[in-house]
Amino acid sequence: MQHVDHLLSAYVDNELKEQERLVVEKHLQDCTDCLELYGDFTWMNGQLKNTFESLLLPKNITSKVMQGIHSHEEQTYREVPVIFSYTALRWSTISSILLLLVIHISLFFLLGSLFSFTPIRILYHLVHGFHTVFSAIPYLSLTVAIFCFPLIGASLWSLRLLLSSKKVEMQQ
Amino acid sequence: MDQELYDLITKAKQRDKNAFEALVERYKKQVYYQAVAMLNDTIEAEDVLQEAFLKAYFSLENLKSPFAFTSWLSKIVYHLCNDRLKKRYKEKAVVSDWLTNKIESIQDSNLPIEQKQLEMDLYQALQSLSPEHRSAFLLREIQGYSYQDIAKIMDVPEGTVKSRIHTARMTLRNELKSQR
Repeated sequence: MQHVDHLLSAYVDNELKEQERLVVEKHLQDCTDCLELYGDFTWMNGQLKNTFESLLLPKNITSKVMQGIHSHEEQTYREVPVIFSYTALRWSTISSILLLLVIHISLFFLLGSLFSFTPIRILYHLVHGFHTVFSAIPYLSLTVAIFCFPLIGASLWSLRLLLSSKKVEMQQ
Repeated sequence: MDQELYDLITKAKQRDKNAFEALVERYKKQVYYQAVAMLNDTIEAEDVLQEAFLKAYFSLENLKSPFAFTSWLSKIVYHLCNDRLKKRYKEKAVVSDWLTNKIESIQDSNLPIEQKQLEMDLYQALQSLSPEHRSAFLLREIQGYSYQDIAKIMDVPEGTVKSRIHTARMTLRNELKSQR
């Protein structure tokens, strides 16, 4: 007779498949060794539960946990200066972009006279040449434009994700 | 899961302290038993309990479903205890504080002699198990998790959980028999 001791533990825990369960139950009717093992396993279950339930919890543990949370929060907020808050970060990004734009445009107007300067002229002609080639190939501008939209979308989405994760980090 | 618990978890996810306090009250026993079982040290278990709830509070918003809260919390406790066990192993410190205290408290208690002896034997037998076997076994016995949940908590295949629990039971049984 083949013993089923390797299945008994899972049987006690009701974790056997139906077929295995039937094999164990049939075997237990005839085998006293396995039946004894089954009896020991079920007896241990009850005893262990009783033993752990007699374990006393530390005093005032809930208030200690909540106090820990309060002091952790206070400490975190103290550590993060206001300058690094999410709003400040957002506004500083926007103002940096605007500032760059303003500088760029004013440079364009102020240094317009520099077009007579040779490197700038070369650059101008290069851009002009690039534009001519670009418009000569049919559908190229359309393809690039279509390709650009998801790219811009993905960039905005990742920027938003980055900023929101920064927000969580700062709040913690 | 009852509606009240579902609401508590949902509120706690939004950093509602009263709701979280109610969750601590509800789960403190489970967390403490798990930590004591794994670490065999009441002082360290208390530290783990505080650390686990602190971690849970600040990362609760990452929990996808309130239904997974119980096993998610057990997983936090499991990893915190494991870190301490690894550290302890490195320091090669032998800690048997909980066992010694428990045996003393059993000896002082008003339990019938046979019951006292039995509890002491059980505690001693539990110490003969490795932390992995003890954890898997007690997650099943004390917390009542399914093998599938234990596998998720311990990050091991279900088959490993099955064999760990079986080995743990056989070892405990043999230890108890040899003590008698």
